[in-house]
Amino acid sequence: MYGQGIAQLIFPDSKDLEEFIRDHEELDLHESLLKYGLSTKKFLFLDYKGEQYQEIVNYILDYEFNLQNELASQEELEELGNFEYEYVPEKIREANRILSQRGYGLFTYPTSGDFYALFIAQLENKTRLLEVELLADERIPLKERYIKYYS
Amino acid sequence: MLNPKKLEMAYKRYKENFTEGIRYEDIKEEYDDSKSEITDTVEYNTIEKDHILLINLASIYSYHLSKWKNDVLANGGSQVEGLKNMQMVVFYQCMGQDLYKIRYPQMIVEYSFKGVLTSLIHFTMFGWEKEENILFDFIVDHFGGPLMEVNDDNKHTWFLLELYLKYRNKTIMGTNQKLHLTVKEKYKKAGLQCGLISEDLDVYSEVLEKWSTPSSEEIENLVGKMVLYHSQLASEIGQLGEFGDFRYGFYPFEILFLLYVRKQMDLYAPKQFEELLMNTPEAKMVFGDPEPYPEWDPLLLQIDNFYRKNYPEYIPNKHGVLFR
Repeated sequence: MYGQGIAQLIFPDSKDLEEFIRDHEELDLHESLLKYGLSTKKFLFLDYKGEQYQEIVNYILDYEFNLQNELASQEELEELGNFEYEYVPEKIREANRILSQRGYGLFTYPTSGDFYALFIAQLENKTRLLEVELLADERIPLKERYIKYYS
Repeated sequence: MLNPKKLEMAYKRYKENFTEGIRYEDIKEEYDDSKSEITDTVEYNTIEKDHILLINLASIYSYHLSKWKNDVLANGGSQVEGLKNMQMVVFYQCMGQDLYKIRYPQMIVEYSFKGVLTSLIHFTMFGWEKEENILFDFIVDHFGGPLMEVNDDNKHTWFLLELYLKYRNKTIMGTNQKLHLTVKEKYKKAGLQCGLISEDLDVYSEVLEKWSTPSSEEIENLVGKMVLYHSQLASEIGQLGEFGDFRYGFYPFEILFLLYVRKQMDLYAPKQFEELLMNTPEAKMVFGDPEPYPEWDPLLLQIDNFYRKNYPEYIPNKHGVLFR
């Protein structure tokens, strides 16, 4: 099942996935993944204008702590925290420059609102993550309907 | 579970905020600027505009906050003068605000419930009983009103107030048990704002039940839980959590107050800690018993003298000399 496939790539923790499938079977896939990701904080919610403080660094720290595997050194994260940017993708690129060395990436999940939903996943799944048209909304430009990886 | 890397990075930012972000020199300059405003108001006795004095207390506060951070956090010293002055300024913000409740009933107060409770328990730990009692009476007299709004979601603040009541054998609304619930229920019925008050005080509910336990093991365990709760929230420094602020984020005064209360009651209080939170220079400050009053800030002194002279109803006038 294609829904389960993409869900498993985004939420590789199988316990979460079972819960997700159980709770959201009848809903639209794009929306249910988004709701699930945001409500469990597995997605990082960011205003389109950017961070209030150090959300991206804190998100990476939480992620690697759950994973029990370091994705970036403290120095790298401090630099990332101080990175100045005008648009969010600039910072995502910078994060990806660091995370890619460990085989991970910070992806953006497509949304129809003026916010970002970000998540970390393994780069080996990049092609499969980027190929699914998740947001089936004709009013949204085609390329905005897919998961994105800024590098 | 605590993420040590996240905590360490948050602590580093907490420290840098006052060395690289907000610089002592800049705050000092602002403080010096408020000097002329205060002196003019006092010299020309411009009573119709004297709320300027009350507003300027905020820059006196910032100055001493910055001084405290500079002395203790940045330089690892043990000078508590700045901290003492900060608590004193909050006291005078309350006293001054009281003068304007009729003239400016809509005026927004510069202090918070959390900030006033912080002063109250510091006065207690400093052994400044006279000022402690005046401030407590002020809190009780205005409790829930515009001068002391209590719709506050900080769990540790409700914990501090209740522990204080238990320690001093005092009550508010006739109780010192689960005060936050009593307040919430009463206000709900009366249609007053209370939505932010949490029903569950988390780790603090347990501590309030067992704070005077004779068991050293039990109290060590409880303190450990408090350290964990505080550390987790301090890891999110800069974001809006109860310990996410740069003022007190890594200063565990709620734990220090519990330890103080137990010591006063000849109960066992752990002294050595391994956790980062309990080993910051702020956590390791030592207060005398009693702690000497600080040297008065000259601007604060001018303001206090002015209010004493012009307002017979000014609360400090009823109590003679204070902080001396």
